[in-house]
Amino acid sequence: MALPNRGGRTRYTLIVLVLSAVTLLTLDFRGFGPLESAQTGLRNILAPAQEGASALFEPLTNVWKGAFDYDDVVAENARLAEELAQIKGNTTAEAIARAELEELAKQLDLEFLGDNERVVARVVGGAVGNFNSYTVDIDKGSADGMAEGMPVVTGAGLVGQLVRVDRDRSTLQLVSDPDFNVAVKLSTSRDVGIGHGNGSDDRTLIIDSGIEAESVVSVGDTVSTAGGASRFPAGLPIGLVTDVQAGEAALGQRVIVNLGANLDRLDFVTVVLYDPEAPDTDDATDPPAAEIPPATVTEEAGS
Amino acid sequence: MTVLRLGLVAFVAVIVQSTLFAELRIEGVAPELPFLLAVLAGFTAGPDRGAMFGFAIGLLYDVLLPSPLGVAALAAAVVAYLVGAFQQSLMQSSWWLPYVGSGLMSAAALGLFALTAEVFGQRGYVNGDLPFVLLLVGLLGTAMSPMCRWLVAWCYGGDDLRTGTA
Repeated sequence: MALPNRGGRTRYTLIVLVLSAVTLLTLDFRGFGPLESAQTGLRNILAPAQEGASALFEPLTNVWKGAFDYDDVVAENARLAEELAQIKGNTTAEAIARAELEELAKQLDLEFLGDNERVVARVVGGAVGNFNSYTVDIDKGSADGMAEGMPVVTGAGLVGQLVRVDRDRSTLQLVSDPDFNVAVKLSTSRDVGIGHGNGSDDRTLIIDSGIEAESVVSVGDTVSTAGGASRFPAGLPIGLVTDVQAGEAALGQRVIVNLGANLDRLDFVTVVLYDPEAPDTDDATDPPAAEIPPATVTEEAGS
Repeated sequence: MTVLRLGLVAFVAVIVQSTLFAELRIEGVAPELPFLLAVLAGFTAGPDRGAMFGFAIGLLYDVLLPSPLGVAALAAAVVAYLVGAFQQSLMQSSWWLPYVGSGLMSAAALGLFALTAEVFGQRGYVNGDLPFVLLLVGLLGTAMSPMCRWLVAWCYGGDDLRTGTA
């Protein structure tokens, strides 16, 4: 198991490569502009090839998903069937509520976005590699006016924010990422807190900061973005409260929110071209709770 | 010619990794083609050139990953170097050892990648799922190694793989 005779030279090569990698890491951490530009340029070159490859491999991936995600589809089908049975079995009150829901769905058309400009994009890929599974790629980028940090929604509400923007392609950090933080507001109590993703449970968001212990929070309350100093405009729907727990040391409450958007089945999304530092941004004015579409909890991409 | 072939293979591998293998997952785990090719370059061309190819393909992979630039390059170069350094011993063992070894070492490269990312402040790379991910990546790498080994041999001009003299 001895190293080759020219081990001295090869070790020198390895040392140079390791030092180069560490140098790149350091520069990347410091946000070295030319390096970021080079990466963006390279991704712009790779993007057309990725698009072509995605189209080429699509039939194969569809077959694969059909074969290996079959159990998930069956489970989803069972869940939906159960929900449908509950709806059908309910009383007149629910029939009225359903009528209201349909009315809201008609009006939906992402009206919660107000006057904010928007761009509809298609989800073209999932996470690359075996880590960071909380990202997806979309087929629009800076050429369409997008920038890092912009919120991304579907008809059912907030799904994430842009974390990397190239010319014709962007990466979206999903709201389920534990590192995703968002200022939220509860519709009933008007409390403002900080919510973050719940990791492997991609259907919920956790609010564990900012909700006072004495605040009255009820299951079913609507949760939306708080706006204000946040990077997101106020009033983007997030979901409905499904559980309220006492927080640590009774300092506040821990609120579990069922996300409106289904992150498993994103196809089209809408990027809100929102700049929190724009002079005409008036995100301090929250829309009334009635404007938030509470009935869109199980809706999917509705762009 | 060798450089052109290696460049082509690295380019195609990273594209395939970011498109096809982003979707073709088993239990949520994707094969790690760039790391496997880096390991096989070490097997085929020895520590020096293996490490250089590992660095190059790792760097290209880095551009598409959300982790900081240089993490995959570092992991792929180091593991390709180690494989290249011990290639003779591995080649002269059983016929199957290079294939299984390639798969396992590609998993080792992924493990080093995760460890390096954590050391440099990234979250969520080293967790309870990592052993399972490494196991599956090793198995998938073993399954893919015969074809990939042929591909890497083609890059280096088809010289005798057992001598490692490309």
